[in-house]
This record gives sequence, C-alpha cells and structure tokens, in this order.
Amino acid sequence: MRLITHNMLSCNIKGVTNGFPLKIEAEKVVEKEVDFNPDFLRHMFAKIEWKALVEAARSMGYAELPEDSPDATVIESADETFLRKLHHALLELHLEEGALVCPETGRKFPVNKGIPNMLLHEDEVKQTVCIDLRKGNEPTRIRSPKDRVLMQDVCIDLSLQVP
Amino acid sequence: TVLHSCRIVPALKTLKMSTRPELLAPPEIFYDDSEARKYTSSSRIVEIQARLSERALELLALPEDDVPRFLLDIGCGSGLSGETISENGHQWIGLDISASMLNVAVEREVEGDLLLGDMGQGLGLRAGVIDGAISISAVQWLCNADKSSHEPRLRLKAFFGSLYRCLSRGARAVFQVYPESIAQRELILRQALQAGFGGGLVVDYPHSTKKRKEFLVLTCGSVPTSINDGHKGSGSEDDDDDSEDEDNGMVCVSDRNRPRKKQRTNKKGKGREWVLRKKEQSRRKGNDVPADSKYTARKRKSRF
Repeated sequence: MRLITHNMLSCNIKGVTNGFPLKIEAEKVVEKEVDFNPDFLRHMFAKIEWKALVEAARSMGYAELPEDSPDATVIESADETFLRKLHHALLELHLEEGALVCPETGRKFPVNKGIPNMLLHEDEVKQTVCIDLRKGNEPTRIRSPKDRVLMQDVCIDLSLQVP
Repeated sequence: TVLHSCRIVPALKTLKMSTRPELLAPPEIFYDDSEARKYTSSSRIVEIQARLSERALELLALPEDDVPRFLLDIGCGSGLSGETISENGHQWIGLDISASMLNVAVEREVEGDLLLGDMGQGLGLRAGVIDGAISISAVQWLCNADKSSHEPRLRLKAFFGSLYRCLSRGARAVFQVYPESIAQRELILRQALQAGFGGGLVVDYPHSTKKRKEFLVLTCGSVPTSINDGHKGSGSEDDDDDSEDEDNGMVCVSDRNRPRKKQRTNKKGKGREWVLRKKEQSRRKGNDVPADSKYTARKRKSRF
C-alpha cells in the first residue's frame, strides 16, 4: 500500500468522529520505482492532507518532506526537486507488512502482502434499522444466510441510528 | 457468522451452471483460491473484463488532458479491470472482499493499491478525493443478504452514501451490472439517487441477448449534459432508458419486455429469382408447376 492511498483512508467504525489519519506501524517497507509524472502530482496536491503525509512518511522511514505544506508557487514552478520528493513519498514507498491504527479507538487494521484488511466486525458497522410500520414496529431482518432473497422496498423509510 | 467453505461450496457447485454465482455463496467464499485462479486464467473472462473496463472508462468521460487521474475500482477482484485502468495511464485503488482474488492480483503485480474490504460497510475514504469510480460485475453482490445481520438496502445505502462523499465534484461512477431482475436494477438505481447521485442507465446492444451490457452511470454534483458523452465507435448503441425529473431527480427505468403491439414485419420478401428457382426445383422433382410468365412473383396488393 502506498502513501497516496493511506492519505485517503479513514476509519469507518461506528461512533468514530475523526478516524483520520490512521497511524502507521511499519514492519516492512519496500521501495518500488514508478514513472515520474509532474502533472499528476500537481493534480493530487490539492487533495493531500499535508501533515498526515509527512507523519506517515516519517513512520515509513522517509523524512525528506518539509514540515509545512508548500504554497502554490513551489508546486507550479519548473523546479522539480520538491516534486521529486513528493513523488517518492507518495508513490514509491510501499508498506508491505505492518498495521494501520485508528487514532480514536486504537483498533488495528493489519497489513499483509501490501493489502490492508479493512473489514469491520459485525459490531463495528454503523447499523441503521428500518422500521416497517405495517408490521407494527418490528425491524425487518433477514433471518438466515440461506434467505438470499432480494429485499423488496416495502417499508416506509424511517431510518434511526442505533447507538 | 461466515459459512465454512470446505464442505458447502463443492456441494453448491454441483448445481446447474446457469445459476448466478451470487445465489450460490457470498463473494468471499465463492471466490476461493481455486475459483480465483480459474477466473483469472480463463482467456474468455479476461477478454470480456478488458472490454467492459475499456467501455466503463470511456463512460467516465474523464477530461482528455493527459493528466492521470485517481480512480477507484470497486470489486477489483484479481485486478483485470485495474490493469485496463493502468494501461490508460491512471492511478487507482482497488477494493474487494475476497482475499483469494486479491492475492492473485498481487501475484500479477498490478500497479494499483489493493484494499481488503466490504463495500456494503462503507468505503472509508475521505471526502472529495476520488476522480472517478468503476465497478465491473460487482455491485449486484450487494443485493443479496449473505449474513444474518445483512440488510441489502442498508448496505446499498452505506455504499452509495460513502461513494458520494468520496467522489470529487463532477466526478462519475460507472458500474457494469448484471441485474437479476428489473426489481433489482430499480433497487440499485433508487438507492443511488437517494444518496444524491444523478444519472441513468446506458445499455449497449439492447436487442441482443448475448451482447447486451448494462452500465449504470452516476454523476456527483453537476447534472450531466449528455449521457452520450462517452460514446465512441459505431458499434454500440447508447440507449437512455431514463427521463430526468428535475424536481427530485427520479429516474424511470422502462421495462424492456413491455408487450408491444404485433406489427406487420416489413420483410424484404423473396424476390422473383428465388421464386423462379424454386419452381425449377419443383419441376425437376416432377411436380406439376404452372408455367412462368410475366405475372410470376409480381408484387401483389398488400391485402393478399
């Protein structure tokens, strides 16, 4: 997983208000060369959370990025030294083994073979319950995995957030 | 709880081949190691996926300024569609629920980043970061309840809600789906519209049962000027089965199997030459055939 993806990932667990950025626990970092494309970097620059990127790069062992987010003149200039550093940090550092940690709950998302496992457990998913007024306030649920029947949209949609 | 795969799947696979995979098992169990390998090594599937991904990328209508974009591949599987994205010069993140499929993708050394995750749990991406999303043959899996705690409508809602959030303004999402029924297609479309998307259905080769492909094109933010934006080449027909109601963005999907009045087929008919040939054949057989004259195979009035 590269830092460009890490910079976009946020923790999705129920109840978490600010799940970004995920802390990186790096066990194995690999560098893979990628073609340099300044247009792409300029396009992505506006979307990147700078502090998170610097922090993440440092935890992967790369400390060349400046602390403060550079302003537009540096990006647009013909001088490519900064863009090269950004390119290296964003696209060439791969987290192969390790974990991503939610800043609020401390829940660890393991990373194996470069793939982070972002699957949430049953109790971590934001559940909204649909109330079927016809049946007298019983939440409609599928009873068994064998019931692979398409749920028809028969209920009036009043979704409540279950805490 | 997740079904244990070893004993159940072999029994399920003895069912008829015409059964849809999403009716057999949840995706993370159906696509186990052997199925993942079979899927990726079948050249027919590889070719179809490549074609579908190219078409989906076309429909994304990304600006043609040679700047690589940051795309999302939902249900990326073994990276077949992702490779098409890379070939077009874009960067991408792939999401899939089956670890086996993702392992195959890692082996094939795809260029995009892979995430193991469930799209029905929400995408978990920051707001406005994705320039476009494609999904090839994956969204219909959301319509089935694979666990006792699943409710397809809520999963669809979580998926479309999080997708709407993470797309940048003006970005599109293109889903190639094989809906099981009209009801399923309407369900998906309705949930997408409720999440705030605009857009509709693009159907390629609508009259051919084999070649027919459906693409759900959703736009985030601005109203699309024309869904035919992405149309290139003369082969496919873009058939917009929708009419946008400006008040609340409702889209009607017409039933393609609506019974039509039986029209008189205006066939070209068999020409004079054919008739003469047949008469000659019949004569050779020894039948009694009237002689040929200037009236043979003459066009009659339509009432005959």
